[in-house]
Amino acid sequence: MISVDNVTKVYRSGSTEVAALRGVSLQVEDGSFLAIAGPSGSGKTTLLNLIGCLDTASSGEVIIGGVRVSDSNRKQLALFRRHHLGFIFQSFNLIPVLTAYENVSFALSLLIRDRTRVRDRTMAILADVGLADMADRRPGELSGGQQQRVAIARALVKGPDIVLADEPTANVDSETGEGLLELMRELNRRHSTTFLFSTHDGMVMDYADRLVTLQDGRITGDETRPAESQSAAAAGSG
Amino acid sequence: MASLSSRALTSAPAASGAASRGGGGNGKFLLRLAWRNLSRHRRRTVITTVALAVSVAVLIFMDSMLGGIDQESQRNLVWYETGSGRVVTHAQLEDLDQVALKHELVDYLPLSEALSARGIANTPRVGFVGELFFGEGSLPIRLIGIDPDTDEDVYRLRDSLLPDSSYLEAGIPGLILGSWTTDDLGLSLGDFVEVRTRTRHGAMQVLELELVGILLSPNPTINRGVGYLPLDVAQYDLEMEGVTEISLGALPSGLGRPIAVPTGAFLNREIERLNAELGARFPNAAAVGWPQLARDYLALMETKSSSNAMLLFLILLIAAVGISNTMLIAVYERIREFGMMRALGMDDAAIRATMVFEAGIIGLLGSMAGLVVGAAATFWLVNWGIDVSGLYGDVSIGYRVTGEFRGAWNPGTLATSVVFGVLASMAIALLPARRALRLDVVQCLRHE
Repeated sequence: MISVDNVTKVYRSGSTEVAALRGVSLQVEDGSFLAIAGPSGSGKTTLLNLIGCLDTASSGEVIIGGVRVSDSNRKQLALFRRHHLGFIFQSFNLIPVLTAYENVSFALSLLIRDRTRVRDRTMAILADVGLADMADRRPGELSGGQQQRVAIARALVKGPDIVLADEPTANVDSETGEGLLELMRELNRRHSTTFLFSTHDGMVMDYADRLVTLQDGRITGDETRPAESQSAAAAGSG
Repeated sequence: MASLSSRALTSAPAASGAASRGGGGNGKFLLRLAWRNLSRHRRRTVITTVALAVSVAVLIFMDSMLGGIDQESQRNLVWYETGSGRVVTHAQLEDLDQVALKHELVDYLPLSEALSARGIANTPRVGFVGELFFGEGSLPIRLIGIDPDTDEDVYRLRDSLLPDSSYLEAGIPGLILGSWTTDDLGLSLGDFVEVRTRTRHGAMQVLELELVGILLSPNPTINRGVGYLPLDVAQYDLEMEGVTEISLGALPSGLGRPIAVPTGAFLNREIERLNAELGARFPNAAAVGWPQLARDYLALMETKSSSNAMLLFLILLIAAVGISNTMLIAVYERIREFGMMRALGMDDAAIRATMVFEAGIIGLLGSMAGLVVGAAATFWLVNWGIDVSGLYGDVSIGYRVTGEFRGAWNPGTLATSVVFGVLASMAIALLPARRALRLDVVQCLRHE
């Protein structure tokens, strides 16, 4: 369970103050597949960063799984991220000099030292994303969609409680994007991992079981959608 | 409400558990990543490595060359100018720069015998100054009366004589001059020159001497402005019974072979011991080591050594700037990647380690390549040497070296240059890495 309670985030640049979030409150159930939508500058990435323990709130509380993360220090946040969170970035952020296997296993090796376990789990997750036979390829030898699959595998390899994805389909074509969404949806169901997206891609919104809309740092819409409508939406977009 | 320092989430992540670790990543992985990172911009890596290799090679070569010059210069000083040391009167000891005939060692023969009995090669000499005249030309000259029978036990003048030259003979008023002097005055073998000087008692004296030998020694200071004549001729013309000094040759080490160019503690100990022994029998005499006789030279060498150290430092600084530039660019273009690594929970220390390892690998490759090239160049310099006579001609630049000189091996420099190359490279990487890690994760991820 993620609980965001009356959170405000203010950025200061000299004497100028910009409020990216203004008193945002949100509860997210475990296993959700939630999209945060809104125009550029609405605060969706800021909200994702706060939930992802990449940033701290100016006021208010962020509680994840009963743990108050909003007043933690840098080291504690890093530790929390390492154990419980996975990230998927818009531009993949893979390490170009490492193979797909190494890019994924690197994230896991931060947690466990048993090489056999690392190898087995990395290969299993690469198989889950359909890249087992491309484990030895470097990112430069993979398509955009394949690279994002590696990034998804990297986010999921340690079995995190929450995966945060910032515009995960922005850098791939719509067909590839849909394939990625199908994959994430399946992994969400299979592992009960909570997925949080920031997006302004209609297709991502269609796949979400809950859509939270932000405007000028405030939540302006919060729509929970029944499973049937998501399937229909997904089929329609397909 | 739980805090982060106690327990995190209720549902443990699949990968955590008994084998949980510190987030630094596997050391091998960090090394592999550092190694692979070198291939991102191969040309830049190669240029930086080559720059470091060249610097280390130049450092090793220069150090060998300067060490070789110092060593050879010191040896030539002892073999052609000072001997290992001298025995002079106490009065002369007060002012070693001004050799004065009045401070003569009258009882030099028993003194010489005493030294020989101790196994110390020695030869008596008389030093004085005069004006050399030939034809229309003249020049001030330092003259040394030498004992033709024993001078070779200490000095190496005879080995430096040019073809057709003769060595001095006792009782015959001959003269040996350096080739630079004979060139200056247009003198040839067989020419007669006139030397005007003052006797022991201050009277004017004119010596007429035949040029019997011309020498060209590896020590430039005796190639110009110095002349040698037989000791007995000098004593007679200068109205002296004694000599101004007894030059000492190689000092016995007690290990079977005497030391030709004694230095440091050994020399000091031997001179002290000699003074203690001579003191009782020859109260007027005092021994002095060659460093005291060559204070000007040593001061000059010290100055040169400081400027050489500065030069070597500059060579390494250039390499350091190259590595620093490479690491700065490498860090700058990977800030976003650092953001990703930190987002995944990687320690700052581990990220810093990849940069330090990367620089360390460049440092190691560059230093090792530099070591190989530098050692090969030094091997050549030690065995074949360089002929600089074309560079300096007959000009003395303070070093007691002319013509060809050889390098010297300095294992300390070989080891230091590699260790320094690696450690300095690693240290240089710390600063840009630290600067990049000062940014927060979000700033890193947004970095373009």
